[in-house]
Amino acid sequence: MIRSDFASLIDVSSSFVGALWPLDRAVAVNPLLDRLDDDFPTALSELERQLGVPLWPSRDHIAEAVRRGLGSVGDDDDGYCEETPHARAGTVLERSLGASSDAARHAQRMVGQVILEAVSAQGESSLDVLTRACAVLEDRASWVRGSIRQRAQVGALIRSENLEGLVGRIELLDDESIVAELSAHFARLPGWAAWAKWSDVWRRQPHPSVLSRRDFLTVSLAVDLAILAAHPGSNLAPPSLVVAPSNEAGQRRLRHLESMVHTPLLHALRTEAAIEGTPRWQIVMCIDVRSEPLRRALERSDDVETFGFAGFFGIPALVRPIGEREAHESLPVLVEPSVTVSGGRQRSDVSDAVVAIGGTFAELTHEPGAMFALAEGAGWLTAPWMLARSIGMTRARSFTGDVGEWALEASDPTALAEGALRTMGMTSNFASEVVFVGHSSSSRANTHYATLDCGACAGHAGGTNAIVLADLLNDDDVRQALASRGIDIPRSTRFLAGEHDTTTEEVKLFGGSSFELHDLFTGATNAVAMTRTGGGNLGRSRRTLRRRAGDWAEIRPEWGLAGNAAFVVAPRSSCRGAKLHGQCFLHSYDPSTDEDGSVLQSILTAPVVVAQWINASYYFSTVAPDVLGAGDKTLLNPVSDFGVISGDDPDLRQGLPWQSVASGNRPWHLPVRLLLAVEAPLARTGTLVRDEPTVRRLVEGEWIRLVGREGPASPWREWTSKHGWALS
Amino acid sequence: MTVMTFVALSAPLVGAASLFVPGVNFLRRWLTAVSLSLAAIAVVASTPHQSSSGLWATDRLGWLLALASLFIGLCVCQYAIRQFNEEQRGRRILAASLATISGIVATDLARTPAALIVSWIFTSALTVVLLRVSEPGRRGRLSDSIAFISFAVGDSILLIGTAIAYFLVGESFASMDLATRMHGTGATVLLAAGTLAAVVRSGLTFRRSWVTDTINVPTSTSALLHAGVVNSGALLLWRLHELAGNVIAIDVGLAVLCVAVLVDLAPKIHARVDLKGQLAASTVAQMAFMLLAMALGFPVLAVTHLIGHGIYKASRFMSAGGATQQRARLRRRLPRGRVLSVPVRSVGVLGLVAFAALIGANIHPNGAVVMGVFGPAAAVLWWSRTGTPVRAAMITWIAVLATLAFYGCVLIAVGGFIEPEVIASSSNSPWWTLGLVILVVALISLRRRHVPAVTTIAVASSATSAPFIEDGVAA
Repeated sequence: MIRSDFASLIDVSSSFVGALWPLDRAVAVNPLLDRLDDDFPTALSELERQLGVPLWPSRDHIAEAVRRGLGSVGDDDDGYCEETPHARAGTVLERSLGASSDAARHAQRMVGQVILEAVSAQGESSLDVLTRACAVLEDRASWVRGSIRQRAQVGALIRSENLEGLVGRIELLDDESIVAELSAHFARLPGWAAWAKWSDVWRRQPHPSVLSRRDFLTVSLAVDLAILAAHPGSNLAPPSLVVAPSNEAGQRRLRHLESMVHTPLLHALRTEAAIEGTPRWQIVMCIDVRSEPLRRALERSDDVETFGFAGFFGIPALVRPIGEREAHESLPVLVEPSVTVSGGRQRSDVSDAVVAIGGTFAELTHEPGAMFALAEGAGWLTAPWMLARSIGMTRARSFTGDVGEWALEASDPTALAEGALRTMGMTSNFASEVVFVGHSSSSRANTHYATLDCGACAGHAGGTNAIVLADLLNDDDVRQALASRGIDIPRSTRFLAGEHDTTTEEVKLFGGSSFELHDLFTGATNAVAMTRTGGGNLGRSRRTLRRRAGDWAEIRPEWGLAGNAAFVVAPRSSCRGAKLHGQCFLHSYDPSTDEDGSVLQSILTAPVVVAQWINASYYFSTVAPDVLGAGDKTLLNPVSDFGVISGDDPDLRQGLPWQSVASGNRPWHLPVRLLLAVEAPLARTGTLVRDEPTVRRLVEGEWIRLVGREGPASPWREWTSKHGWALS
Repeated sequence: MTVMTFVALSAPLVGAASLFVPGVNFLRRWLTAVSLSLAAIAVVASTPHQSSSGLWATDRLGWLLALASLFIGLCVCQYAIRQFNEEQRGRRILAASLATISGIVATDLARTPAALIVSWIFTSALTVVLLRVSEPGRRGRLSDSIAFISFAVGDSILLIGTAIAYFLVGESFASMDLATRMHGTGATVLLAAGTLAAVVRSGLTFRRSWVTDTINVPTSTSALLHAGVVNSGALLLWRLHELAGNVIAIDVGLAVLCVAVLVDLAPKIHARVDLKGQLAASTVAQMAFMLLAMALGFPVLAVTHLIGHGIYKASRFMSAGGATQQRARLRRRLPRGRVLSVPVRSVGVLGLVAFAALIGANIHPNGAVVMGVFGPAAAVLWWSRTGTPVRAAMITWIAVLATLAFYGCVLIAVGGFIEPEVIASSSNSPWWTLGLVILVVALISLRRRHVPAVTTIAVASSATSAPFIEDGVAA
């Protein structure tokens, strides 16, 4: 007897599905974001069973860590056998006819192709997805494989039965079986499943190519049933309800790898003397791991104090640039926008013309009236341009946010400013110039360009948020209001904004800034550029970075957040000067200004969660590149402007490309869980672990490792669920 | 074969082999550039001449196509080097690419039936090897299997036809210059076999095509195959027409097949939602158009199409990764400006058509044919683009006009250069044949099949144009 409503069953069955954002606003996501109530080993083992791929670090990852001098292989001989998990739990067709049968492969392709064509063309039609799917099945011009009869049968099933009716045909008797069956359908095409999850659960703005989980399942089941009908002798095998066994060897391997990666980072967090007096410059940068090398370079000057803060700078904005039909969010996706920012730079006629001409010639491929003639004409014309690009004579093109005037619409601007300053721990001792530096990236011919932009700004550049906060804090009325709330900003203090291009290692400062500040950033970025390119000549380093940013053949303009391993919540003095090699998210935190622990709570429940998503995304893209990662970047094939497939495989690719986590055949990113290192009273941290649900799930569920220390001279202690704080 | 021709053929092969010398991997960018540049210099240094002894030699057409092939090959290989910078497979892919380019150049410069057939088959084999080393996974194996089967069928037919021709003509067949005219059954059999081989190489099949499956290999491989290998069919037809003349039935059959493929494929291109799939499907359509041009007696159109399409396709594949950004930007932009009025749009259309006619009337006879196709195409493009609000309409109009003008210059250069070797002058085809070609394209563009209508048109145009094609030596 089916007891629960189908909406709930769909929610449960898609709990092992991540969410896939459109590529123009891609954010890194934990594929198990809805399974945090389970502990990490259990959730991972179950996901292994669902997908049929191993999800623990492999021997290659251990070997790479050893090669880097991080440790040794280990004495545990039986710890590193490459255990192969069970084969993927199949759908009703796969169970009945065999998962490796031609019919099963055909069904997978057919479902993927129907959804691909129905969803991608949706923008041109007002019809819903299922109606479009039926149209695709009837259209002889579509690329869906299958006989006319078979396609007609699938279309008839979609039209005549809803999802409940289709499930009823499989004769599943209870909720557990239904959930298992629906989960198997999601696991068969994990990319489209993740897209459907985003469409249903996370989408906040209209998008022309949405797909609901219900529609996905309807198409998937209809195809299975139509193909099964052509095999009359087949029995409808019930779904398997076995519980995935725990992978002890994998867990041991993970812990061993983590000890090799995390230990050096903790040892590097030594204490330097705090800056005495008021520094001349205070620079606030995003907690992104790529900010750490630049902050270290800036701090070579004793006149500089840096802070780490989420890159949206406390401005949860919906941004409406001039001349664009859509607004975009510039805040962590976990948060809803509460203010609107509009403005930017007016487009020039030349810009319009360039875009119009480029778009015209780019669409010649299938422009019916022109492709047979004008394509070849355009070809002759583009020969010099193609030669120039092929030999690397290109320049970087940045897609940062428009510079210009931005207007903020907020009900209480002062509260925004106050919240940002208090969370940064910047309530007194202001420098004469305080700079908020967002970050962006530059790349050409990169499908995953948004993953290199600011994750705290929903995959967009962070310069706009920096400008808005700086303008807000320069406003006399806001300063007056802040003074009444205990934050006294000297008249001599000026707030500025800038943007750090993490690909070219250049910083653009908006508005007027002093020459010394400009020189400071130039010196720091030069140092970082040379470090990234292995030293040598500055000019050559700069040219190399710019070439990578502008090269259409470059599959990896920068490493992005590959190598991320830890999140440090501490005063800057605890890690100033520490060489963390771009592996750490660094969030400034001063326990002495946070008496009630509310600031620590806001850090652990928001930025840490975002960082855990990023860490998980890199983890799964590394251990399962062909299922939870985007695979080989040279095979990626853009679909409209929201996704990629691989060659002609119709499933959307999620996660990161292989080349973003590996160098050739060698792993670059080592798959470890995020280490959260908190310098704060242990009792305060412990209370949050016990009482704050988000933190408890992450820590007690072993999704992250937590270490803490009372102060800079104290040893690090690791939190365990059994013993609380233990010496690490 | 002259020294320069030998260098042009062997330099890419030497470059490929040198990549496997221990310790030189870090120099592969220079090795590749030098080998291909050396080959190009050798081709440039070879004086194109009509007749020459030897298996490979440069005539005007071969000279032009070899340079185009080497240019595209240089761009694609430099792209591949940077794309596979740290990967072990990069060396294998690069070597296979260089070898394939050598095969393409050998086909371009072949001057005897033996050299032509050997080069053709050599290129087919290397294409399969390139597909295999580019993507050894399951999808890649499927792609190279389809290519292998396709080429095996097509090239076997070509070999059989060649063998029959050899049997009928005698020993002199293998070494006779392609400018020598054959007669009789042997010529017909050879032409028929070559036509089928060209059709297969161009991927003109109604079901699965090896061309559309090339999207399962890395971008650089796809770019090279779409720009250099797939379009060799036109060259093969040109050479065999040189040797064997025209046979009405074969030309009519080829035209009908091409039209049928165009009719079948045109709506499917629009239905394809992935970018590389669109590019691949459009390549097949473009090849059908190119072979249709050959069948109807418009060789200059075919040759300029071959080169221009090759460059266009290579650049589109290599820039595919940027399509996401570009499309997102376009989608977000608010259209500015206003919709142009019908009279203004009509004036724009007339201007483009008149400009095309002006160019066509003043350049090479084959150029008139080309402009006769380009002009309406440009007009259709302008009309469709100005149906929505547009701010920079004048700039877009000028850009389209500039493309026409530039292409006119290309026609003057190319058409005039290869004019002595044009074996079927379009001036021998009735003027209304061109109109029929345009009508076929227009009907397809409207996405209505009209299969009986377009088939009739194709048959009629081929049949009526054929008697006007001189069955004689090239001018």
